[in-house]
Amino acid sequence: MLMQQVVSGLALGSVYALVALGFIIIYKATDVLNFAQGDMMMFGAYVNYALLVSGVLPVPLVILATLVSGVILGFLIERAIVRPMLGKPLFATVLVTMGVGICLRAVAGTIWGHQYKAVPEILSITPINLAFGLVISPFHLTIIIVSLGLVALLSLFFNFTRLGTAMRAVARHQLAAFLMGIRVRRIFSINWMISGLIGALGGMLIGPLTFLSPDLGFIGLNAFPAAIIGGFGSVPGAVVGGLILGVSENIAGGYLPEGVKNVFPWTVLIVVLMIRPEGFFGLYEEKKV
Amino acid sequence: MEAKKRKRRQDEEQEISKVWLLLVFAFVLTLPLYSNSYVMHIACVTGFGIIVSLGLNVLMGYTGQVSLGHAAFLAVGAYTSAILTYKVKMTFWLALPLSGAMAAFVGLVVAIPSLRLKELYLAIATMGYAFIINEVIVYWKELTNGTKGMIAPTVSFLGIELNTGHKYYYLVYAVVSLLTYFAYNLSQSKTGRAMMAVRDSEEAAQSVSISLVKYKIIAFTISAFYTGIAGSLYAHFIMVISPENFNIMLSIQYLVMLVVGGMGHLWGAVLGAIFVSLLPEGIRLSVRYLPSWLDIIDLQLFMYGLIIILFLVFEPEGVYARWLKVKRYVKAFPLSPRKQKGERIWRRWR
Amino acid sequence: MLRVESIETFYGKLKVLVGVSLELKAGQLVAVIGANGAGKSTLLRTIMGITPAEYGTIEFLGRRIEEEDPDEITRLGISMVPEGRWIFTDLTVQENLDMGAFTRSDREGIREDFERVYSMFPALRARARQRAGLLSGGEQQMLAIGRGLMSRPKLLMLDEPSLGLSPILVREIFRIIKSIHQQGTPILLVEQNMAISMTIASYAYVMETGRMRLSGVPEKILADEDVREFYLGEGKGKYVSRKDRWKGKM
Repeated sequence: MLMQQVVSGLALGSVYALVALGFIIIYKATDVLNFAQGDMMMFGAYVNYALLVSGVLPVPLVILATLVSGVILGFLIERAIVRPMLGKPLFATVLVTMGVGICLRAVAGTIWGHQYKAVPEILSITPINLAFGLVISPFHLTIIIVSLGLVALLSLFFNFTRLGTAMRAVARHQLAAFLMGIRVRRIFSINWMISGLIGALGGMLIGPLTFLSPDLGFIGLNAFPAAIIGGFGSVPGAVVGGLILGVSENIAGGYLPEGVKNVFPWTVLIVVLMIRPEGFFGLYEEKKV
Repeated sequence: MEAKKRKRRQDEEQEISKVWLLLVFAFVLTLPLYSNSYVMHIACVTGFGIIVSLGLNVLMGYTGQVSLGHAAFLAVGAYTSAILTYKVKMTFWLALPLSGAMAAFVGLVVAIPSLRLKELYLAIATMGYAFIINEVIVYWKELTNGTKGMIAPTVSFLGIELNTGHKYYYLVYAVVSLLTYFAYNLSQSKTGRAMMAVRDSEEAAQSVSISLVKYKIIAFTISAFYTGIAGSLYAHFIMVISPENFNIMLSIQYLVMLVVGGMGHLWGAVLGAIFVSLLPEGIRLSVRYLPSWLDIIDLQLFMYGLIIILFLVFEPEGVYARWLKVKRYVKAFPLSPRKQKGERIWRRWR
Repeated sequence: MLRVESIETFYGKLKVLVGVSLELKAGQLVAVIGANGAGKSTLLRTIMGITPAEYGTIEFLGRRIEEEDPDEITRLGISMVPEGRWIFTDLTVQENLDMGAFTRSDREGIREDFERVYSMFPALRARARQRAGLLSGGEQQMLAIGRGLMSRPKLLMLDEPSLGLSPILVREIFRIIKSIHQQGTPILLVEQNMAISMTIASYAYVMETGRMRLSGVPEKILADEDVREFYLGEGKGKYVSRKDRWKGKM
């Protein structure tokens, strides 16, 4: 029974890891906390839903189109709203992302209304049998594979390509990166596009787990604890944090009184921060100007 | 000679400030005489916002500690007041300060694990506290009635029931004036300066033996106290409270108040609170001129978000900072103040 | 190839560079000497576009660059090794050097330059795959210089390379700087250490409180009475009058 909960928890955890990753990528490079990440995810979920329901495109193209929409959204937000904030107090930029999140919610509400919607299933629902008598739904399995696959891909990208290395350089020391001739603004743009992609992907994966509503973005907030528990600096940190959170939330939901499950991520966060103010992988080092 | 001229100018400025203050006071005092209940309603809500904004300013503006969870303190104040007056049948006049105290206590409790946290983590931790407190309110049904909501009875003053906007207005703004006065004193006091030292540089403050722990805790406590008082006033105004009133959007709203008005300045906090409280009304009024097929709620939400964005892009330091710049410009008239090409040092946040 | 004319740079309201002019001809190693706070680092940052000047012009290879962004200026061929080095501490030594070559795409040439840097600084070769943050101060300085060279710059600017290094290391670094110069790279060197800088410079300027005080070939600089007194610690003339005379020189 416990192991089964762990397995289902991994699926939830993978989504958390994904959203956390979206935060971290932008934060590392630009010091900006993207409060709109959850809402970007929500938007991707809706685009995905709309395309599936309309039946206009075959499923593989729906997936592609949703991802592209995420990239475009990320690009637009960075270009139109974040870039003008360059040089302005950082705090203001963070609040701007909140404003963007609010607008996204309003737009989604206008286009699709406030009633809860169910995303059509695109995979079969018969559970797959794993070893030891554990079962997992194909969808949960997909979530885990896709999320972890993406994380692996991004790790490879950041560590073994020149562009990825440049992004790490920008994240560590923006000004020095300028001196290398790196087009830092372009790197910011790419960061946001990647986060947009991740957001859309997260939306596609989380949509079927729960019902769609314009407030779906609030679940994205739950990913904050994941990011911090893992230590807000690293890709593996996000993953570990997300998975731990997802699994423990699921287990706790089974054994602890009602209501605790909702705030479980936050309770864990506070406990972790009390023990280790820098998060587990404590990568909150002083960054250079 | 220069010193005498400067002293005279300072005295003149002080006189001007006093005149402004008198005008504001007169305005506040006489507003009910020529307003209808709608305006009074808005004025009261604005008053609550001002109190919270002042409190949040003590924490964020003076001491530099971020809080994304202030709605929780509001909730604590509101529920304490409701429980004390409705269940325990205490008089409001005792419940009010006790609500503030209760909120202050929660602020203290929340502050202790937060002392070592850095900006970002602190912000998120405060969000966490707010979520947790909210859940506690929802699930402690014996105490709070959970999601069904609680009643906060009307307030009586010397036998008169304060059951209209006009009457409640005086209560609210009496409290506002008092708390503004305290906040002003705080900013000029040694404690206030110590807080600002903590904000500007923790290492430097420590090197002159300013205790970070002491002043952060004081800041959290005072900030929560203010918000708790506002919560109590709020509860007895709308008379029925439920946990949904105190969500994260409200916390964000308070943050926006400070940023729009100007963090760190007392008048900035006040102006920001006024602006943000009047905003929904402004949007509602302007919406009437737009085509009706646009869904009202979402449009209002969208405009709210848009205005936040625009404000931050064009005036990130707040209205009060802009006001100060304008004042400097006017003083230098007819010479224009020395133009400074924006220094493109790619700075980071403090 | 580089001409700076009457630039004035401000930090807020404070004028830190007052009518500063400087010229660097092809193949030269020009040194700018000054005490702390003289404004020499600011000068480099202004040239590099990090703290742009409010007035004045800067011309590089015939092109005006005072309005350009730092990354563009790097792409035009000026490479700066900053005071404080600004190493990417998370990246390995190899990756740091690779970032130096970011503006280039010729794989062969880059590989050659890796070799060139490693033979110049053998200590770096040993640590090629280590995180740069783990290097000692001297090694980081070497890495910073090596990184600056990786872009095959047309002009290399060095900001106080001797800072924080032991005398032996300083001599070693300057030996290497001299050889870089001799291999054909023009250098603009900003330093506090006048003595050693004069041994490798083709031409020099002396800066004080934001102004250029003196310029000339090293022999002339070293012969100047006031330089001897204030920078080399020689001579014991009447303090007051010397100071006045020095102040009077513009």
